[in-house]
Amino acid sequence: MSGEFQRLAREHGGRIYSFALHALRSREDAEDVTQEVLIRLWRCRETIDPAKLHAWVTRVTRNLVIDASRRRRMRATVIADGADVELVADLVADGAAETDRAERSELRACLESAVAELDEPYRSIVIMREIQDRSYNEIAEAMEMPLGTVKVYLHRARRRLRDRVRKELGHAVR
Amino acid sequence: MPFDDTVITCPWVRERVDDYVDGADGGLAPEERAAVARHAGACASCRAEIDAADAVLRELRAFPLFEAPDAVIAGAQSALAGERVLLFPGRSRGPAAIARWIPAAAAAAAIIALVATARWSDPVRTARGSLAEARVERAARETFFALSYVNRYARMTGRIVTTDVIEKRLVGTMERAVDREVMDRGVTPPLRRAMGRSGIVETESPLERS
Repeated sequence: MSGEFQRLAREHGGRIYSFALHALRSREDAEDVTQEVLIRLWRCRETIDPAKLHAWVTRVTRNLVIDASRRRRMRATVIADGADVELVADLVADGAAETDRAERSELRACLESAVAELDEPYRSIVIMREIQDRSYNEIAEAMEMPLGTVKVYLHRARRRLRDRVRKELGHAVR
Repeated sequence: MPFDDTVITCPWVRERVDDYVDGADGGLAPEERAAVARHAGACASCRAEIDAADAVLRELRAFPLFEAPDAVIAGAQSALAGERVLLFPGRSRGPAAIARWIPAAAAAAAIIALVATARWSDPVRTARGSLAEARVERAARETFFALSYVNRYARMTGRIVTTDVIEKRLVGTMERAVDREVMDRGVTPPLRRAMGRSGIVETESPLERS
């Protein structure tokens, strides 16, 4: 198992992790999603049509990202209800993320938030198209949508991102 | 056939801004692309819109891509091989997330506090109750802290923390710290609700399913 699992994991792991990280903006959540997708991929590898492997991986990743987003909203509620918010915040805070953020440009930081906060399916389509440079056909297959629908969603998503940047940064965008 | 520029308006151009900056794959016919360029040359407002779209697109396309961390791949492999990985209570971390000790240890925070409150609400037991509650609260806090610490350690080092270690080092310690009578009360409906509020769910492990 070891060699073939490693090969599969190396081939798909980066794409899975990048997608999850840009969508969730949490290293821990992205790691969880990646691990789970790799496990499912290994278990299902013999039943997946090789021609549709990338689409399968993207679909499973996206579904788990959506689940993780929901769970995160629930966790936020739990923490808000909890007695010791300070302790929880201190334990789970990722100091490195704050440092990273300070070093990035304003536009980058704004767009990172904006992408992660897009509703589905806009978020997935933007990540696949703009960040991961996937073709429209690949996206359509992974999303199980007609090509024209993907283009419409992408068009709207880009407009939303631009509006968000304009709202947050004003004339800073050139 | 070139477009008649007299019919090209700002709204027409705005509808095509994204496709224009997207490049060849964007779907604009060459004559449409040329028409947008000509209009933008004469219209500052549309030029600004194109520049903004271009800046956003360039920035998005410069977002980094990552490799999956080695520890994640190792964790998946270990999970498939039957080991369990520690995770934070209430989070789902692959198959290991789901190790059954988690409700026993992590849920203690909610469970024992409520049991203690119920048990010592009797006025006769108030003095003892306040002491017990303090102990319960402290134990719950320490349990929560310990779980977080071990989880963070596992993440940083990429080490696998197996259930026997957890049971020996954490659950056992916690049990000694808390009056066993409290634990023996079992999970009452209020406790079950408290577990739910804490995001603690007892789930069947995929490893056990397969």
